[in-house]
Amino acid sequence: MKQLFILFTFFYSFAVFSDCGKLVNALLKYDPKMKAASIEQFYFTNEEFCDAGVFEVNANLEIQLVGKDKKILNRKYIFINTFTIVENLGKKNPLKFTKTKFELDPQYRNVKFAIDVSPIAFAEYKIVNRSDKKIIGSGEIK
Amino acid sequence: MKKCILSLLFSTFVFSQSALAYKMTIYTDQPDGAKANEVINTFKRTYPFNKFEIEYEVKNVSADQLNCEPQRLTKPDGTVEVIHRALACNSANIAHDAAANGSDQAIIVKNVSEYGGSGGSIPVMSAGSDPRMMLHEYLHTLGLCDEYAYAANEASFYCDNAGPNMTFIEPNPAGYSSDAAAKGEHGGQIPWNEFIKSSTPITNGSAPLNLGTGVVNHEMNSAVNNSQSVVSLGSVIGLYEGNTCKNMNPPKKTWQPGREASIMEFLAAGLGAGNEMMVAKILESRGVRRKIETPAPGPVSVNETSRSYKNVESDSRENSQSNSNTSR
Repeated sequence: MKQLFILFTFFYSFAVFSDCGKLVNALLKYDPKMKAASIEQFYFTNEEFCDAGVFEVNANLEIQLVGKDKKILNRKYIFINTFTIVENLGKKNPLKFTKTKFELDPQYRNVKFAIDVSPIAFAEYKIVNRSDKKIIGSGEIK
Repeated sequence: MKKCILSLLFSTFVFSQSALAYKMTIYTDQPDGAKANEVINTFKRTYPFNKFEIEYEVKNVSADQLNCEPQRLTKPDGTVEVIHRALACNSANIAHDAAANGSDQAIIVKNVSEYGGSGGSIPVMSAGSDPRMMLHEYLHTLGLCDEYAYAANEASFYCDNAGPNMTFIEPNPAGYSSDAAAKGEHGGQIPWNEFIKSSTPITNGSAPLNLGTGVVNHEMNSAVNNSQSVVSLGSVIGLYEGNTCKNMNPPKKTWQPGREASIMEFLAAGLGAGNEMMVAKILESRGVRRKIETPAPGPVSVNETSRSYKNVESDSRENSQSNSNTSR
């Protein structure tokens, strides 16, 4: 029974992943003041990666990686914070919040993609705000 | 032969698991990294983080690389007050380093003795703070909202942003004919709705019913949960009226999943069952893998004569039956 269980979990661990390929780390930047986003840098690797996080439950952005033929080759729905909450703790009770301030600082997040084509197949990216479907960022993939 | 195949499969399985682990990198300018390690230990023992494959690493960097500074407030008279307790960082350097090294999440522990932090895409805390501060700030990174009452000026900015643990619902002034009617009307507005049991009402009183399972008790903390399952102490997950936006003009009603105060209100509190469920759901949707838990093997005895394995608990039954070989 134990052998069967190990066999099952081995194959199941791959079955649950819907996107597999080479890992790409994409540094996403969101500017709350401009309500604009961009991919600051793409890091293409040779590491095998299966992406089980293509649709985050509280996603507010859609990131599309588009090929030279204008077809969407990869797509992810992710959440990124839209502001920074700066929080003070009390002097008398350092486990209690005393003061809060909101800052519209740039937000950064590493977004991972699994690509099953050569990096040269990609032409551009688009970032869509899910709430109003507007494109808030786009650019070339280099 | 069977052992060889199993060993090969198992080693491949283990290797594939570690290659796919969610990587959290703590950047700190504290030379011995003591607070960073406290943060790691806090995450490792806290449910539901202790149920997921998360790889933690500590990276020592210089203060310049962290680029954090205390908040500075310019007063009406032109003088500048330095609020040491508040910390914010210009995280571009750290973000680039994290992405270049394939880290899923960068977090920052700044080496200052004062206490405070900030929540955003890269959470920050001071080395002088309790390590639970990083739990709180990382929950902001996942999208969770504060549950303490905001001052009026902050409430006016913040109280348009709902989150996985908070929703804004103005009750129907006419009340509700039944709990089912209230669930039908508002279920889609409650992010944690799937975790509210069908037997738990989201209304109270007598017809016409009022909205709410109850009101948050800010004097009672959710239990800190270092177990391997959802916290069992405390009230059921429901729809509880909070006070986060009570100072807004006009006041705005907020609703939370738990009756007891959670870590989003007080650092001493646990996450609370509702937030635990939501955090687990968010982590899974981010592709963070759950740890595979093999069932504990039962007691066995080896019959050297027949070279078979059988469970000792079935001995008494098998004594009255013919022997049966069970492969394990």
